[in-house]
Amino acid sequence: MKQDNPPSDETILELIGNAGGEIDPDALMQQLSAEFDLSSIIEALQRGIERRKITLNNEGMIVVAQELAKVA
Amino acid sequence: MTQGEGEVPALDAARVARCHSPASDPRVDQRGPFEIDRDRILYSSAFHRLAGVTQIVRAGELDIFHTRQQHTYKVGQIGRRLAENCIREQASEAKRHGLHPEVVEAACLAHDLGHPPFGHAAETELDIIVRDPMKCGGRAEDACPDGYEGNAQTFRILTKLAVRYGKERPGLDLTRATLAATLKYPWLRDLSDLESKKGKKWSAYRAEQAQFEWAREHCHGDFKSAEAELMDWADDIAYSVHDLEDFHRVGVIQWSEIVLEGHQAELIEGAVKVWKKDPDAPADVQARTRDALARIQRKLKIFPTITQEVYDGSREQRRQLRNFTSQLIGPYVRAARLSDPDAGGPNVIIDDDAADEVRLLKYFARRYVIGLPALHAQQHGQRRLVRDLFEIFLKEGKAGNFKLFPARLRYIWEDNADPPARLAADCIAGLTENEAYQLHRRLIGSESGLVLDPIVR
Repeated sequence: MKQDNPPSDETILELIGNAGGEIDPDALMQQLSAEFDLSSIIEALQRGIERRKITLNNEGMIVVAQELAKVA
Repeated sequence: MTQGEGEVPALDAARVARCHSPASDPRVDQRGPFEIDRDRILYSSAFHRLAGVTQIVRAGELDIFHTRQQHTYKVGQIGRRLAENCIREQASEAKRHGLHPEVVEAACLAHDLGHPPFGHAAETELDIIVRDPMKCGGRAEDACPDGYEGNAQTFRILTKLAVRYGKERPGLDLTRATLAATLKYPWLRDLSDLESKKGKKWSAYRAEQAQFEWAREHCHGDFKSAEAELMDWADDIAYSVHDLEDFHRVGVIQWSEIVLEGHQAELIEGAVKVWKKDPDAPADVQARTRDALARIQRKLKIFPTITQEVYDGSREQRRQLRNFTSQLIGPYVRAARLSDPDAGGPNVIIDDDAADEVRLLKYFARRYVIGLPALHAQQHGQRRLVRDLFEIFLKEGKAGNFKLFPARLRYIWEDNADPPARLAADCIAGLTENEAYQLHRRLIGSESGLVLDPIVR
């Protein structure tokens, strides 16, 4: 059964890290969909952006916001 | 030579110079010269008029679309952030360019002042009839060969038409740096080939050639000043992102076409066709457009309410729309970099990927909005209205019969000796869209209006 709560920031950041620092939005959502509903995943991603934990890089890949700032 | 205390470096002194007045005395006005410029533009009646002028759809329609004034505020905000970011990231280059956020913001606030009522439809129409007023009952000698262009009209307003002081001090008397920053196409019109790059867009009429040359004294070649480059990029960002946002809200952007694989080829073909009209288009237009579309599609993935739902303004839709546009704008602001001012090329380089995305976003608006049949019908009527008003202003102005003119436009004929077609166009360019409609109805007799209503105050 899928979890009721959206995935945590830590879960998302870990998946980004596992993917080498950037991850295609489709791939990330695919990985999270095993445990979470799509609406919960989208909620977590919106929150992640608003809390400045994650962001999209120039290629449209999801990255850790602080990492992008370091690169810039 | 060591710079002494209070001494202004030569370039800085040139940048703060004004045509009609000496440098302001800080004991009299606490503001710096560029702050004064910005404030003069913001408080001008030409800026006030922008609230009643179309961006794409008629100003005020459905109360949802950006007017030119709302667009301008956003351009100003983005322009300022661009300048601040360049100063933060490239302090040395910024200093050598003399880059100042107030100048960029001032230029942004000024950039659309010359747009006539009804936007580009009227601009094209005015260009035709100013060059050939015989189409509207005028004579060959009434004509101005360099026609009409919104950017050139902006420069004319700033240097001649804006009323702030007495006749001996026309326009807003802005600093050289701010005037140069408003010149998006820093050349006069190429009259030998109206279809060339310099024949299609230009930033000053021959009537303002002296002011144009004065403003450009320290610029090189045909390159915009760094501040003009940033103003131009800010305009592109605001137009591509915020206008698209407006049209998304009313449901005319076909996101299903944009995000679905099956429609890609047609979309790319359309965008490539438009880009190839640009004489500076690179050889790999096709590949760059395809890549830009792929990036935009990827960026949209985590905002499904944009691509999968009809907009109804729900909290979640608004949230995702804001997050999406914010994810676009931030990188676009960081995509501008100052060049070495001594290198002799463009003063600002925009990252190709960002420029390609913005170009594509602009194409979306063009594809889904500018082709709407209702918009074409509206523009047909607007062009006709512009011709009617032009004919009346031209005839009555030449005869010195100013009773038909709104009082606030009469000075244009009294103070300027330009050919009549230019002055008639100035009168139209000074109207909002509602004023143009009201004046037209009264002058052609379809509606009398009220005797005590001056129409244009």
